Amino acid sequence: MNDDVPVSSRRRLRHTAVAVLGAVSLLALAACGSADPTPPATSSPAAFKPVAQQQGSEITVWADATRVPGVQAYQKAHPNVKIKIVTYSGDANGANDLQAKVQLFDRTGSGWPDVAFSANVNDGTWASQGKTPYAAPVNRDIIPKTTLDGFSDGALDPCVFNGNTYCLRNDLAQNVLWYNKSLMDKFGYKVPTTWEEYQALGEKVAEEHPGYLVGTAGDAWTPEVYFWASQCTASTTTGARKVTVNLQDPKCTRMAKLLDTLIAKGSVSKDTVFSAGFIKNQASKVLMLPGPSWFGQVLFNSTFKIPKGQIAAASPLKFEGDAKNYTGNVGGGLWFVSSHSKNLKAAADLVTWMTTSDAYQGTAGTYPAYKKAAVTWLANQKKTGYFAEDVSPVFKESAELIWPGWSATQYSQEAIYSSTVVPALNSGKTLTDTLDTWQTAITNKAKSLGYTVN
Amino acid sequence: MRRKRRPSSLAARLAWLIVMGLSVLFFCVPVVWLLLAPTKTDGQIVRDNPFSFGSLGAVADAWHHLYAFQDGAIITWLLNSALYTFGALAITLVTSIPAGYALALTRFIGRRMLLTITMLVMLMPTAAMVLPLYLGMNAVHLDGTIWSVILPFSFFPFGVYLTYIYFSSNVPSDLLAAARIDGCSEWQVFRLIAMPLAKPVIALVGFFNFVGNWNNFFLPFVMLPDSSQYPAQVGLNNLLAASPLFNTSSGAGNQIMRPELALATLVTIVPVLIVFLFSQRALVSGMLAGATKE
Repeated sequence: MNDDVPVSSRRRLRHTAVAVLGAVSLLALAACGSADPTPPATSSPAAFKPVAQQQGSEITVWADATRVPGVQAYQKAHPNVKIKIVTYSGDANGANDLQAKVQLFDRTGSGWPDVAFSANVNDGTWASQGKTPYAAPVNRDIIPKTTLDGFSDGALDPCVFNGNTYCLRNDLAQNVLWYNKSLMDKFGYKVPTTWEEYQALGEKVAEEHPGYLVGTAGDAWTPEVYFWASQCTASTTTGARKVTVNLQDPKCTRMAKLLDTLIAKGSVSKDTVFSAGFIKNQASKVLMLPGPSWFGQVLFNSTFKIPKGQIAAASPLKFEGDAKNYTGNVGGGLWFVSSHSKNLKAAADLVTWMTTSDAYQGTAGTYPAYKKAAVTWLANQKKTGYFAEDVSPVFKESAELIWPGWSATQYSQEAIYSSTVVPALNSGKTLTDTLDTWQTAITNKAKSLGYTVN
Repeated sequence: MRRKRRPSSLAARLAWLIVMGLSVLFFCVPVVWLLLAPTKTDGQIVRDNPFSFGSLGAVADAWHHLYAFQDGAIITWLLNSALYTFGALAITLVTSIPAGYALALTRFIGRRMLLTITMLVMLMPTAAMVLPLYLGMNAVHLDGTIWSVILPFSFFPFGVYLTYIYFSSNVPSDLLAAARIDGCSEWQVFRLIAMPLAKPVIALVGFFNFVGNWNNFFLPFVMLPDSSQYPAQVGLNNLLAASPLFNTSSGAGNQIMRPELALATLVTIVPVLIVFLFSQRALVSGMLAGATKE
């Protein structure tokens, strides 16, 4: 210690040191808090015990702006039910508002919404977990089995954990093969039924009509459109927080090779369909586009502004060696009933109405997951007269063709693909080259969230 | 006397002009684009020249769509923002100005310690405080009320420090001593002598507090459970999430597209611009306060 320092300065130094130490300790304490406080323990099927019920008590409903008019319609049709509506992001576009808020409510022991909508199809992975999971297992005397059985096959898969169903599916986003019928007729092409035919046509288009496209690989949901349909083991859960990731499986590499060939030829774009550049320069040159059911109205009609009577949908493609065709799914919202709700009856009734009623789902923007509502929805789509052919048979068929080997996980496959694979593609690498890096990225993310990866 | 300009100084001036010109372009071009965006339809924004002007009719259309979003929610958000920021501003001024004055011009036990703590708290990122604040507000049953936002907004150690610097460098303690000799009480010294001299720093503290709070997203996002309580920044996030541009699950037919989002952004900036214009003169003199010592 320097003895030349005056006493007042030394005291000042000591005060400063104490204060700095205090501040550093505070920051260290804050940093010690887990970034993912959800305990990895899973709930057993017998564990659910509702809180004391108060019949007729007010229920709080969290929904995104798109779903709020539906909740308001329910309120109008059921004036006796007391509902408080809160509009939030709906966890759209990669947000995790619901989980963040539920974690806060878990800490304070109050505030959970009785009903919550989430546009993130993976939200069941955390909402069904923990000592007291946020989501109530609706199959346990909350919503009748007959209602649950009315959903399309596999529609409730993202809600099922440990044998319980923790949510209801709002909509499906099953992939189909979209195509521009006018252009196909003009060029004299036949709509492919297998991926092999699709590749051959893609190569032909590149030679005969350069600039025209048969697909895109720059969208965040490319894994769900192409690799899910190819039955690639990129996201297969094999137990509670156990996931298999094997991108070197032949069912993954076959799709990577197919896309690499077409990217090299120029008939599959590395851009995303919603980018301003794509909309401006390439939207009118889309000949075919494998993609979700909502592409029809949201992309081709509202965004690309393709005129009426040109766009049609074909069945999902099949590999020649496979017994049947499978498809994937891009999104699809979920409705949760809170396990903390004091009025489970009202909450369940609202969720049932929102997902199954013709009055709401029949005119919704996206394809209803509930089969009966989907029939009404398809009839309304036909009435719009936008599509060149009735899309009903293809939509119905593909809703039942979703490959069950691709599971919802707590992490987003889309985020990993966007941050790992898309930049690699744009730097000139092929998808096949990138499979190892992509696999490492998925594995690391899964492990960081407590998954066992094999 | 005019000095002959050397070629090297001309080159330096030219380089300076180029650097400044590029900087102005870098910062102004996005703002110009933002100002022009609501004059066009969504299709025009994508397809036309980025700096083309659409029509005023398009601005009116964008406003109608924006206003129609949840029956005028944009107005509710702006009113909420105003309530939180002005409420916090009043408390901040009432507390931080006297606090800075006391730290600068009076001597009491623990003064230096308080000053050090003020500085340290000033350095802590506000986002790090949000979770402890939420738990604290919950413990005193204020979470979900407007006070859970206004009270943390009012906690403004930077304002205290700014006032402290201003008073310690700009107001001589002899002046206050003279007032005391003339019979002023401590309150009168503060109110009649110190306050009139502190106008620039009051404007400065007020401006920084207002802008910081108006633009704060995370605190109200965490604290407020009801969408009718949202301020503009949290509301904008909702608006963004409701647009089919960012939320493909919103389905077709949604009216919130690029022009509406650009207009909403501009509308929420207007109050900051107004406050800036009003406090501009005071801000400049406040910012120079203490820069030189004579």
